[in-house]
Amino acid sequence: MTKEILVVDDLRLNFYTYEGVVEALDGVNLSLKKGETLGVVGETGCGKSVTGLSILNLIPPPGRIEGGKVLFNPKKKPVDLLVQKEAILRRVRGKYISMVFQDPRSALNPVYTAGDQIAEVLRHHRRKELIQRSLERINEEIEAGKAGFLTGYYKGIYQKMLKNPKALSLLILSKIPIVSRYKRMLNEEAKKEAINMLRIMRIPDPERVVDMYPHELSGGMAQRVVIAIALACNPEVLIADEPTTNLDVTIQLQILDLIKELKEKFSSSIIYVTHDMGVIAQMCDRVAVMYAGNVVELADLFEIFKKPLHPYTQALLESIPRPGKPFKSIEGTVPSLVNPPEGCRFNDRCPYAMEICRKEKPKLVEAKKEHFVQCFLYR
Amino acid sequence: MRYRLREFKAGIRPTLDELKFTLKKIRKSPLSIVGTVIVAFYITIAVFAPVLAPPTDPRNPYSIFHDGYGPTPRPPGSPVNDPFILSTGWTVHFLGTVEGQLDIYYGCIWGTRTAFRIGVIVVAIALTIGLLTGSLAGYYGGTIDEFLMRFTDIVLAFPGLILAMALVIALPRTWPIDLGFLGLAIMIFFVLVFLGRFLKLQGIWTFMLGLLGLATVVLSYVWALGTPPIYIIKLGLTNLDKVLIALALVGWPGYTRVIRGEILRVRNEDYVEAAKAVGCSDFRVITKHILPNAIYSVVIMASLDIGAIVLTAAALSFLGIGAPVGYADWGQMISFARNWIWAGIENPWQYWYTFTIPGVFIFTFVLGWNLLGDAFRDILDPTLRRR
Amino acid sequence: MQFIIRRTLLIIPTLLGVILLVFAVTQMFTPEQRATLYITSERQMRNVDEVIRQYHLRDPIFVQFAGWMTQLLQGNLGYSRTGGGPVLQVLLRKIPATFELVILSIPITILLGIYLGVKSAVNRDKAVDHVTRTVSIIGWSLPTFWLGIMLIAIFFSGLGWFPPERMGTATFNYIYLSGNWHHYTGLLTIDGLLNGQPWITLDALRHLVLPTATLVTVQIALIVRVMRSSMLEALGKGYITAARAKGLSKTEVINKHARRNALIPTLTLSGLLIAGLITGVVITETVFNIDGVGRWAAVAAGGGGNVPDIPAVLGFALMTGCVYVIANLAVDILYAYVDPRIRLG
Repeated sequence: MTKEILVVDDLRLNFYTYEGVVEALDGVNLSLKKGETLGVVGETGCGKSVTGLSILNLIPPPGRIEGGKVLFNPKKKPVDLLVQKEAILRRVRGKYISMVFQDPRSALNPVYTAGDQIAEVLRHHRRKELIQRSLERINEEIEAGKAGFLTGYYKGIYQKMLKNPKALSLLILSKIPIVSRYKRMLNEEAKKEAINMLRIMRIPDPERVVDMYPHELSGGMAQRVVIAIALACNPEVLIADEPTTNLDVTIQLQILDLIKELKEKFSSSIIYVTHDMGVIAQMCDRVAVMYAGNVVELADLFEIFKKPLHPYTQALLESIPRPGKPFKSIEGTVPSLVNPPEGCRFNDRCPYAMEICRKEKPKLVEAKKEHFVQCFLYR
Repeated sequence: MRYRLREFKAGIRPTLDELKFTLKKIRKSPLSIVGTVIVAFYITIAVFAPVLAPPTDPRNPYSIFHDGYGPTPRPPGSPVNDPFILSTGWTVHFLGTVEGQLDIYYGCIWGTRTAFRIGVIVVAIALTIGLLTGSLAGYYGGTIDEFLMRFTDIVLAFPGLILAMALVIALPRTWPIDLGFLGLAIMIFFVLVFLGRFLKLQGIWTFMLGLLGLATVVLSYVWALGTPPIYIIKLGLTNLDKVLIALALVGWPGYTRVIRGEILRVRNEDYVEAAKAVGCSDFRVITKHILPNAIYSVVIMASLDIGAIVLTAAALSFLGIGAPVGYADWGQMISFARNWIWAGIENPWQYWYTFTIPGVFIFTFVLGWNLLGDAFRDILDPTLRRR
Repeated sequence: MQFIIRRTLLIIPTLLGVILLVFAVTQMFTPEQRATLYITSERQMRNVDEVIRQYHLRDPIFVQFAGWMTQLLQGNLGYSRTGGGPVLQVLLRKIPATFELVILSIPITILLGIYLGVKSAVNRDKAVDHVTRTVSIIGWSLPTFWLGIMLIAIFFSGLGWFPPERMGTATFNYIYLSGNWHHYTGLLTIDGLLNGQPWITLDALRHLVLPTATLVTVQIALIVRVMRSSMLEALGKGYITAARAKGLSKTEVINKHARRNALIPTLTLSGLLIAGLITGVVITETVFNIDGVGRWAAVAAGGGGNVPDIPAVLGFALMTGCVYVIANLAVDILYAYVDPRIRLG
């Protein structure tokens, strides 16, 4: 049985706004197995994006996580990310779990080059490796006889950085303007690695692109840069939040292929958030269907598409437009999350709604093997 | 009938809700309440000035009465000595006197009126000029825009006070205006404008016609200067008037820029295009669609500007270029206090009242308007309301 | 590079406009008054008609403009009665005092303003925010001259810590009477060190504290307000969340990502800051009795019913206009340097 690398258990999230308390996530349950791609699909406003952000505990105020656990299990013991201190979370973000954002233009800082932004995450998480490489380069220079008078001094600094990175002397040195040029070697190594990442992303002419600013890049290229940033430190889990929604369909295909290829190469597990069932069909091994802040069904791809159990999933699949079929939509609208309805949140639109659906909320049960549903039809 | 009434109430519901929200926001923000209270306080003082500080010379209420000519300021509570002043009802100097025995209380009360006069008049003139130029530049664009913006840039190339200083010394003491020819010229201008509207000329041609009309006014006036006058009046410009004119001439570019920016922002919005698509005339588009959206920034700027104008005018008075000596003006009163900041080692702050009291008036007045302007900005700007 | 050249060329019409505007103002004076703009020494005023004839002061505007421009290009801005010399000379003589004040005030205003603006935005609606905003709006509402007077009253009359004016008696005696002093730069702070008399530098600094405090307090509100609002805007952008998702700490994100972006609108406001500073300098120098160009202009404008010294005021106006235009050019170039979107189009 493949190990579950990430489990979201009964996650509750509220936003405290002027209009009232928005109960955005009402007990979300997910599980991600190692090496698989889990799709999270749902309409706009169902809470799929904030689920991703909650995993990394990056919800801005006025939002607050009110309950639940996020169990991350990369090695032996699972760790609840929601109760960890900020320092630990910072080690996790970008290195063990990273995120690809929906709009590449707003995810990239306009005043830094693409290379700078990739190098930033490299310097943060793979610092030791970069220092070692710099040291190797310095030693090469010394051996080749090209050592300048500063090289010995640089060697000393880098060795110290390796041994005792938080030393006070290093802190002081790094603040003095001219002396801190020693960082140049580190930055060069980081830039080389960034170019390497861009090449893996199949960006043509990466040496040129690495110095370009986000506004100079096309949508597809910018998204590749964002993906490069996310994968730069070889994360265990990649959360992809609608990475292709803002791109042209042709580019979308390229990016999807790229993600599939990279998943193999980096052996990551992916949580793929989207509203597009077609993308789900192409990319995912298992699917979680979300509605109004709940996961209503969780099963593998075939089961979801061929034998959906939850009425919402069934209605969703019915509503996919197909030539020859009459156009069918789901009656009613998504309920306001400020005053969510009692009981099951789908009850006012569900064709099978029963008395109990209006009073109590169903729990996620395993109706068939590895097929979870949150509905009173399956008890 | 009842149905119509219900419909009307339903239609007006969102406006009322927004109004309630606005009031709630005002009440929630303590600073805006403080600002409103301060401004209301000063408005009351200005309105009731003749009651609060009855003038000794009803024909010249703005000249502060002086109790003799003694050079040393006297502290608050000192009695009035001059028999003539005593006969008008003043018995004590409530806030003391300044060098030359000018009463501080009187000067501050009537100075409020002066401050309002300066602030409101200058802002009104500057706003009008700015609205006109900004609308023209923003709406018609092209060479008109270029030309107007260049001119605005040049005026803006000078810090306000400096240009105002130069203008104040340059403006002549009397300004002869020939009402006869001026009237004739204005009539020609309006005739041309109405001709344009009557012939239903579009945008740029109307502007051209208007420009032609304006040129006619100016040229005919210049020409008239060489011909025998029909009816000349000589406008006597006091120093204070010069300050008003100078500040207005220096202050309009700010408004031009703001209006033009807003119009440029709004005219590209879809609802403007929609309005044009259903056949609205240029004039209607500007007045009903563009200006209501652009006006918020102007209101905010105007209320902040009143404070800034009063500060600049006070600075000019302090430097001696401004109100005539003895005029009820806060800045001038402080200029009298300059020699009395240090009164010897024993009791250095003996004459604190000479500079502190008028200064507090200026400071709180400007503070009130600044707070009000900030409050307007937080409350009216639609992008900031909901946060 | 091209951008710099293009932008520099653009100021030429504006400079021309500045000159034209000053010229337009000169035309509002009578020819007798205008004569002072062309002469180089007091003696020439004795025969005013001669001067008027020589410089065609009753002739059509274009002729006058040509004449004035030629004089301008030769450096002749007229003769200043209050300055006791040709305008240009007086300007150069008095500039160092003003320069010292300005060069101290600008960095403090900007750096302190940025720091407070960032702190305010990051701690939105908390105590720090409210205090900073209140203090800065109070500063903005204070009349500069009144603040100066109050500071003198408190810190000099009351406490005796910081004196007004530019130098104390001891310094004055040393510079003007002892004969040992070399005017290297005209700036007391630097010259003090260069002459080997560090106590003079200290004395000059002590005298500069109050005027600088006055200028900074009044101007800082501008920077704080803009920095705060642009920081708030930057903090709401997507790249902030993206940066935190990379594992960066809050401080790193604020300083490296948000602040850099927030500086851009603040930079464009620096132009206004310089304008405010020039205005403030005129008043501050008058209040503190510092012998710089500001006070000279204020006296020249006729403080107290004197006849205005027209060449002085106009010369000062011309100078400030040009300085302001050039300063704005510098700001624009800096702006392009900081924001790659402007630089690369």
